[in-house]
Amino acid sequence: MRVTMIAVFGVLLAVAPTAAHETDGGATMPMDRMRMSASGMVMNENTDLRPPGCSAIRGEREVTVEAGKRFAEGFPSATWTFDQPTIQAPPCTKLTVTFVNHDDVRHQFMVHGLPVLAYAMGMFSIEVDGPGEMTGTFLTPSEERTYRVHCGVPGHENHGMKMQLVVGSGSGNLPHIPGLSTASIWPEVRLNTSFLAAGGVGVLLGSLLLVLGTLVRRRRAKRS
Amino acid sequence: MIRSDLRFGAVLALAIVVVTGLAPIGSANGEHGPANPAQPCPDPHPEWRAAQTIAEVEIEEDPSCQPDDPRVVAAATKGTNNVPMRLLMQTGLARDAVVKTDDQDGDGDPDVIHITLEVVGLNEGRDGSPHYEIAPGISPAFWTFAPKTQGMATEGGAAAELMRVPAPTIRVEQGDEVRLTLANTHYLPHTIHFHGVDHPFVDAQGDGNDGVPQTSERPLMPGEQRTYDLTPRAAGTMFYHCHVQPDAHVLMGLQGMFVVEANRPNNTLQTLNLGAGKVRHRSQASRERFDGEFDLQYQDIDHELHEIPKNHNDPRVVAQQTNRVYDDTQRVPDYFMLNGRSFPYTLRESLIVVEPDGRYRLRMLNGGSRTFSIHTHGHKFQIHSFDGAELSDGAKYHRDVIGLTAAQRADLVLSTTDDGFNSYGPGVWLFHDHREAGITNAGISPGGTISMIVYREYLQENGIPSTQGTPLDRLFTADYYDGDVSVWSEIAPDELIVPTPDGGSFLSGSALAGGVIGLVGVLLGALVSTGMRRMRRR
Repeated sequence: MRVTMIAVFGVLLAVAPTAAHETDGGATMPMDRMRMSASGMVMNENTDLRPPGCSAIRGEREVTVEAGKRFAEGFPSATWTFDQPTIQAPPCTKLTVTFVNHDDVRHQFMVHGLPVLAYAMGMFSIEVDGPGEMTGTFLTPSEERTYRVHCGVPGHENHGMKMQLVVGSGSGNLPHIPGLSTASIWPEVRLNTSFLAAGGVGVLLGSLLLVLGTLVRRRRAKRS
Repeated sequence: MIRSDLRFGAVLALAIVVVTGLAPIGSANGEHGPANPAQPCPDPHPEWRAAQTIAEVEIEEDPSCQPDDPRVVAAATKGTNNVPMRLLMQTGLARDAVVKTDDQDGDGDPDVIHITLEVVGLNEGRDGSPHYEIAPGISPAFWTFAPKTQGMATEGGAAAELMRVPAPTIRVEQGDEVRLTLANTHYLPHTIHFHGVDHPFVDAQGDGNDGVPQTSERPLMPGEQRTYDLTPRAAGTMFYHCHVQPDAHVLMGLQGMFVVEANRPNNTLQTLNLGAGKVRHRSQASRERFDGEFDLQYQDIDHELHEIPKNHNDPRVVAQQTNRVYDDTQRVPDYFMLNGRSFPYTLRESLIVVEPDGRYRLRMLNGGSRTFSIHTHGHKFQIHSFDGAELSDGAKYHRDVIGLTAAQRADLVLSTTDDGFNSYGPGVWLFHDHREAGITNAGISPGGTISMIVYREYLQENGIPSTQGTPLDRLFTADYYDGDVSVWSEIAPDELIVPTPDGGSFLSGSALAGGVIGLVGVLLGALVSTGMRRMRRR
């Protein structure tokens, strides 16, 4: 079964690049920067189109990122996570990522905020469908910043699959990353009714004024 | 001393009331997102309506406002393994979402059907959870089975469009070898139970195949997947749903119709019907006897259950809240959906559009936990079968009301022959629940499961019925279902309306309540501190 599927996709892949760069209302991806295999796909792979501000490609770096339920064990409120909170690379570097998925379901390694001139939708992504791995390469931007990496399968980021790519010296840590953030992965309760909000503000303000009042009174008492 | 405390308290109270009164002004727009434009049909894809042939799949016309994407229909019919990759990429479907192979009996259609479903949370209140509105401004959280997708589920993108309620209607042929893989991409345990569909208790490997955690199998934990095997011998309208903690999971949306069609030659079926509704590529048996076919799935919602995943992210807390705090015996539903929408959004995608002198098959499922009484204006339909079992000819009564209890199915035959019995002639005829709560959105009428049987000549080009009563536009706003629009404002703008005092909206009732609670807290605090000081003095 698997073999026939691979054969079928091989044929389809040979056909795919001829369908050049057609988008449909922004809903679908350009086809010319997509690579598929039996285990997954790489979107916006880029080994030659230099990001703006990169006069040359300065070097190469390889990194392996693993993901799955097993890495969430130390984070009781998380369902699945990456095996590391941070990967680091210099700017304008050819970064080759091997993404290993240990779960039966699909996961993604998806970098956001890349320059749109080199990356459609500012994104580079590797999706691995079930247990297995896939490798993809992209050029890091010239801007030294901390870029968000997540799994784009709905709900997976909120339940642990968030990490960061620090380019150069970066721009500080991103919030809600297991292993980086000390707080729970996501704040638990949202105050989403005006009742709670108003009540909360009232109580807060009230206690603040109470404390102030007590302080003032104490000072008065001292004076007298 | 006490007097100065009280004076202090009074100043505080004033400050609190002012501040809390102002607070909701900032959040007023945030609660329901931006108000929807009062536009019955935003008309995003008019080209999807026409009859067309894609990848050799003939797709029937669907003239309603928001028809299914014909490319998805084509891929779900021909098989995601059999359509060109370019087409597949446009649908958002994964290449193994619907794999069709092996014409085993040589009758011109594939007989081994392998479907993969994922589990998706909608409206869970976080970035990354697809947004899904059932009616203007109303978006309860759901868990649903979605066809396996690939890539990003960007808002408005093809993959996100496949994530909705109800779960897709699954259509297979009698005798097909069906493999259904459930990929648990969700953060809680799940299974699938095939309700009324012929399936063995154990599969070829001896593993449980019935989806029941207590009798059949350990539920699938997050990140796991398994495949159910079935070769249904009997045709009929059936049901599939998660059987883990059904009091929460079935009602949260993990449910869909499962239709087994009679075996015929050259009978390649539309394996998935997204969000139920009109079947755009029908079975041979349906084409022999009918002019159209519609899947109608009803669900009811208690917003209290569907608030939980909006307010909590930690799976441990969601599990505790849904199964230990939320009590299904106290359930009072307040939203009622037909094919995943409540009126007026039912008008966009769940109309039954007919021609005169036609015969239409309606497959109906009550996926809610409350009995309903659906009434068709202008028509008496014939009840053909219940729960996938055909009635004897003498028992195929005509009715204009059908009651279905929870999980029950009925196949109805709607005839549009204008004979004063089957049909009273062309028009825009309501069909709706006659348990009137079911035609409201949390008590605001008209809403709920109202839809319409619309004769083609009464349908506008944008798919909205050409009605003769009060304008529909005002119903397509969140304000209307917030209760902010007076009930008779459109026919009597100056009568029957309680005047709003100036500044009435400035201090909303709930904000005042919050302020009062804050005030009481502060006064209590002041009293306690005074009391303690006195005790200390003693």
